[in-house]
Amino acid sequence: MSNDIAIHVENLGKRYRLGMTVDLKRDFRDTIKALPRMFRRSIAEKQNGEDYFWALRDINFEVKRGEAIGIIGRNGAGKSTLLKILSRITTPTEGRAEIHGRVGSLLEVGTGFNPELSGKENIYLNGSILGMTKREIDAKFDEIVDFAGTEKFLDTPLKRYSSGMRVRLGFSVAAHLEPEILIVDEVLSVGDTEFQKKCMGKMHNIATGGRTIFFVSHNLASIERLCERVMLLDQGNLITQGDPTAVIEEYRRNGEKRKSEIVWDDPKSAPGNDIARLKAVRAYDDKGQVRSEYKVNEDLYLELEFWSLSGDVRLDSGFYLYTDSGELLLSAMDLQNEKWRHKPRPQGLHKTRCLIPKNLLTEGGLSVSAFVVTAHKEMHLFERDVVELNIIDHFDEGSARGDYKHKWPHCAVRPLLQWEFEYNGKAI
Amino acid sequence: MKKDNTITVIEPSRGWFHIDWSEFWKYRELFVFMVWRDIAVKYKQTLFGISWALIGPLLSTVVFTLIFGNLAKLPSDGLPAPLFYMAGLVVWRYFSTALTKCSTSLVGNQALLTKIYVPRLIIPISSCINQIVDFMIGLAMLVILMLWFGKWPSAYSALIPVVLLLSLITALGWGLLFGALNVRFRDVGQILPLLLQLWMYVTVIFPFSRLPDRWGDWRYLYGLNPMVGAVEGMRWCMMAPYMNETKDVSKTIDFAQVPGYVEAGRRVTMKFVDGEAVWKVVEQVASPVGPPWILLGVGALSAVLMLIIGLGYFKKVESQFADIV
Repeated sequence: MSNDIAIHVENLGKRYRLGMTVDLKRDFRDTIKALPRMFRRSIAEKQNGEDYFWALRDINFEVKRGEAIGIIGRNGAGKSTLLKILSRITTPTEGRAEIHGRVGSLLEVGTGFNPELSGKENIYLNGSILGMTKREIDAKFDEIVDFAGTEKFLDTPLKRYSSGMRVRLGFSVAAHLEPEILIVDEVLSVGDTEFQKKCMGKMHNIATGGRTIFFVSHNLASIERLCERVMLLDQGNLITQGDPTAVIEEYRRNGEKRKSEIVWDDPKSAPGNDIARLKAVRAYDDKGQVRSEYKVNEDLYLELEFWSLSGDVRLDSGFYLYTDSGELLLSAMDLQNEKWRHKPRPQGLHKTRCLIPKNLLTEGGLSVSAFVVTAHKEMHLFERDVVELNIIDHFDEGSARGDYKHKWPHCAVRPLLQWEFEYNGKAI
Repeated sequence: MKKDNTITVIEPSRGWFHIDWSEFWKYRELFVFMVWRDIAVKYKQTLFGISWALIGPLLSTVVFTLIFGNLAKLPSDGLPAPLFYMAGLVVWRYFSTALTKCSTSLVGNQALLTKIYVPRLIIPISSCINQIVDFMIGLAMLVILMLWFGKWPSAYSALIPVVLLLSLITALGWGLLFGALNVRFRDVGQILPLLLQLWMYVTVIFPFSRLPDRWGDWRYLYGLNPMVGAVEGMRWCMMAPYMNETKDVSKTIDFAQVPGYVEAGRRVTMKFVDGEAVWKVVEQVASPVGPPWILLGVGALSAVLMLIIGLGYFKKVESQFADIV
């Protein structure tokens, strides 16, 4: 292999077992819960076939020394998994990667910081965790403190630091790590705007200073500015790579291409059986416009059209919503309606629509599966992942965020809740 | 910028015993920092600081002396009960804290598993090492207590490191196993205190010398619990010259001899065996306690075996830590 290769990746793949992260108690509980199902043919049975999923598969690429590479892709595309494998945090299931030179990986700012220790002590601790030697830290110590701007608090325990100061100190240590290959995850999205600018400047220096950078971000602008080459991941596959502007353009188009609608025109070949067949599933907003991207605080309608073929069977329809990581987020079924609840559906085209109210879902990709069943009796059709949606975070008011502009933790839902307050000034 | 010719190869995990020793050397400074961190953090923001390392063993020594020495009157190899128990407790406390810390170290340092790569073994090993500070403090306390009882540490105390090493290996072997299990099953946190409590009672209280002679060499199976060797070793190293074991050498006598012995002030016992009275004159001799080499040897074997099992399991599941912790 030629000498100017920094990273060489061959057929890299990582498989996770679904439910691997849950604890034994939940495994146990789920097993108990699943027992009755074993005796009953149900919708759940169909989806249980896949115990494993590939977070990353068949990844091949090479990075030259001194190149700055950006990785983009939706949530769950495998970006973080790739970084974790290259940082040796987790091992691949197949394939191999070779890294030539000293690697520094920065998946979090201030890893291993201890709140009880002083700022100075934490610089040494964090530095050595990142792979610096004591001599290197000694030599850079003043620069680190200077960049973070925390001179006055060197002997103060870290727990007395503001969160901003902690982030600054953490980034500052990491920025002075001088590996040949730097692997960076979304760490620049922390801290105030001014400090972010400072960080970007530093990153830019590193990138132009002949070091190899491997950079993941949702911030397409900074990727475009910083990187010479961009790779696009989707569902664990490397879709394309090349010139940043072109790949980012493709990524944007791809985002729009998330299937917001699917239609079968021919009732003979559409999914289903002799009783019911699926015609269409679509998602649209409150103006009726079909699209795949919704803000957290936008209403979203899911619509399902199906043909009733026999005309004498009671039919119920509904959706499953899965997150990008494959978890079932919710199951919705039209059981509350008075119109068809206990009546057979006459032959013809039936349309059901369901409102998913704003301020319920949280950011991330969702995939919708649709089904038509006769509840308690028979399943007529179950189509997986017919519609894919992207819920996006944003900073307008009118969501759970209020005017809070920083990172929101990853949650399953993000409802807008009611808060009440009481105040008593005399109670001190 | 330094040129570095390291090549890192990333491949699917190779399981059981693939240990990269050179990597440890590379990360030696981190190892030192981790040990130092735990020591530095332990007594920060405490009123009594390092004196807690004294209070612990002293308090349990008082309790053990009162309950097992004064109330239950258990034998103590000819030593004053406080010395007997304290010597055992100093080494036991090292072991039990080291094992506990080792077992919880991975879960307690999650960021080091999920956010960065460091050789994972550093985490449990360093958490076993830093407890040595408390051990030294306990040891100093023991010496002071011995001097107070007018006893000088014996020359064999130079062998203390052997005892410490045995405890360390035992703690590490079990700790690696429990630590790795704890990543997957948090039940370990519940089981461990129970286990340690039972383990302590079968280790610290009963001296080996009191096992019945008729068990012969089978007695040495007691040493499969390596901490028996360590505790006995500790007592012997520090106080060998002052230790003696009392053996019962009572002999059977004829009824006719009884008045003679009684007149001489000896204790005579009578027992019915198969309906016939058997008379014995009670006699006990104290003999010095020999070095517990066999116990230490058996213990070392058992500890090393456990270390291999612990290390093997640890390496086997190590590659999943970041995914399941």
